[in-house]
Amino acid sequence: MIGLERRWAKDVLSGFAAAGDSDQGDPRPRLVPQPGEVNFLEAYEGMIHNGTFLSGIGMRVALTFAALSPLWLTGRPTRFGSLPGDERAALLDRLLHHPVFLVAELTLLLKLCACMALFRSAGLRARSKYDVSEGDPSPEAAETGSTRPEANRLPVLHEGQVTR
Amino acid sequence: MTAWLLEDSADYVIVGTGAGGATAARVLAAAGHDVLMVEEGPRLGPEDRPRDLLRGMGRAVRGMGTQATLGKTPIPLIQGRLVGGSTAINSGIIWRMPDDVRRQWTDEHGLGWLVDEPEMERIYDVIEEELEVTKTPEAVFGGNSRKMAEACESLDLPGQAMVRNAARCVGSSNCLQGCTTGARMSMDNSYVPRAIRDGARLHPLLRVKRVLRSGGRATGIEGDVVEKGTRRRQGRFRIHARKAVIVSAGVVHTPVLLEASGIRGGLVGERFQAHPGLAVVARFDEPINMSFGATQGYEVPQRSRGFKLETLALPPEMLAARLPGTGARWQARLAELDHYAQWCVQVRMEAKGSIHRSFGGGPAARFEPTARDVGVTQEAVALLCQMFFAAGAKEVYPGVGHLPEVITDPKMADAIYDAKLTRPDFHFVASHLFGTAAAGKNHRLSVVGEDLAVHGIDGLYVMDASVFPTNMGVNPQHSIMTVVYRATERLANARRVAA
Repeated sequence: MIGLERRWAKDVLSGFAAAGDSDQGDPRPRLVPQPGEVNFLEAYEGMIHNGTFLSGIGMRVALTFAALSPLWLTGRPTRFGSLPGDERAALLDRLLHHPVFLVAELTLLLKLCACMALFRSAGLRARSKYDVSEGDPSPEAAETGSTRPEANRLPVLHEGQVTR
Repeated sequence: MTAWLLEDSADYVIVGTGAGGATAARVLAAAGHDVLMVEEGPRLGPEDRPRDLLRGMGRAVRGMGTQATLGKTPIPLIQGRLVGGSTAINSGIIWRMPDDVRRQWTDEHGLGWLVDEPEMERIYDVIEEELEVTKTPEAVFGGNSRKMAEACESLDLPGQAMVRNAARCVGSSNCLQGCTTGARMSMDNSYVPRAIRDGARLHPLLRVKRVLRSGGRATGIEGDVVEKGTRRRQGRFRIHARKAVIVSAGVVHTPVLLEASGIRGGLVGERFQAHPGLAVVARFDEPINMSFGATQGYEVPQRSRGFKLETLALPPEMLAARLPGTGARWQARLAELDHYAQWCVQVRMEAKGSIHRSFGGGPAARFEPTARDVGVTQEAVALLCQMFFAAGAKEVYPGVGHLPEVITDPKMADAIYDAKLTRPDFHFVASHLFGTAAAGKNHRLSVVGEDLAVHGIDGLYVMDASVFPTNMGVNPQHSIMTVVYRATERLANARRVAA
């Protein structure tokens, strides 16, 4: 992987949710990565390494589309990484809604890659509130932990399912 | 002269340890036969299954989920690549083969012996007992399944708790990354260790490249030994099969292996079918907490309409990727990850595709949904959106092109039925795969017979969903295990009698 590809990968993947991005007047709380908290390059390299040969090509094509999107979407000969966060996000949003299926689908693959990087960060994952805290289990979790469900007899169900 | 890194032999050599291969090993080993299982992927315990997808999928899922059909509108084909196969990355949903499918196989494909009703019933009972099959208790529904149950009650839909092979499930919502408590009785946690207890052997990390043949008979397999972390080739292996080779490499790789072994033409690789699906996400005012509950706990079977709706609690990476937007707008949605529910549809598509060996040696899959398949999907997405609103959702994200990204009004959900949508509007994923080495009585219309032996080659069997002549409209794991159990019993008994 050459230096340019690495730089593009960092610029583009971080563009989905830039660290310290301005809130643009939106009063809602946001999940914002802290500077240096997320390793986007690790996720990109991991997907290239573990994906199929074709998906590796697809990732690189998608990255090229995104990195050069200031030029081919807006006609501005500007480096993607030099744009402010909201402009990078707007360009990626346009790619996600591109009428050519492959462009939209491959950009979605980049978004998934960015998500893998974001939630690999323990700090960001904790702030997302996705996980039910072990110290504060939901009522169901507490109940389940104390009563192990037993194998019950299978009921009569619909359309050919288990009927014993 | 080739320097073999590994050489071995057994009476029965089984390629693959998913629902088909592990069941064959369980039956043959219990009957006292000398069995050797070969698996391309690693053997992963709960400690090897990290919850973050980057490492978790990289280790357990073939191509990290990027293996896809070719063409303008690719569909990812999700398959496990580890001991236990796809049963080690699925939700353990158990459905008996619907009777209309069983009758069709009997009447149209001459498979009356294979799917004989009393025998199927007997084997279902055995498998359900051994895999601790039970209905998902409400205690582990979690918010995701509970909301679907509420929607069904509100709209008078025939919803039901899923039946799964996870009686001891505590709702850790980690089925896809690997059950952390060992409650799910996937093959790596049930039939593979059981077969080993009965004397079978297991060689993981062997990539089979060819079935060896001599004088019209299968005599073994050969391929590469791969390194666990990098999957790089370490050397070559060869395993001699004294009685038979059983190919259970899955619908994608079984035809590729057959073709690489010189078994081409006819219906090898043809009649590929699937249940492609997609997911719809919705936001509720109250917390849903998808991180607690059965990954899939509730369903709405709609076989007469060609689809099945299911709950599907995905890990945060996949959920986040499904939320609309980028930048600040997306970050605001990410801050509410505990408020989302996700349900999906599996469509029983009529389309038939193919999977053949590509020039580079890997699979080249082709599958294009028909206009009818797209229409069925559209109807299912509309129903899912209506259900979300019936359950109290404030925003629904259909994730379908040419529909609004965010739907906030139930009337907009009703309008989806009449929207003009086409194939590229839908982002499908397929995990239920069928065909490519179909079973049948007529040699010209099938690859294997009702005993699952490959036509014209002695000692070579295919035992996975490749042999299914049709798709089913329900989750296939139980049917795969039952059909393979039936065929392997015959094989075990026949060889014993002959001996």
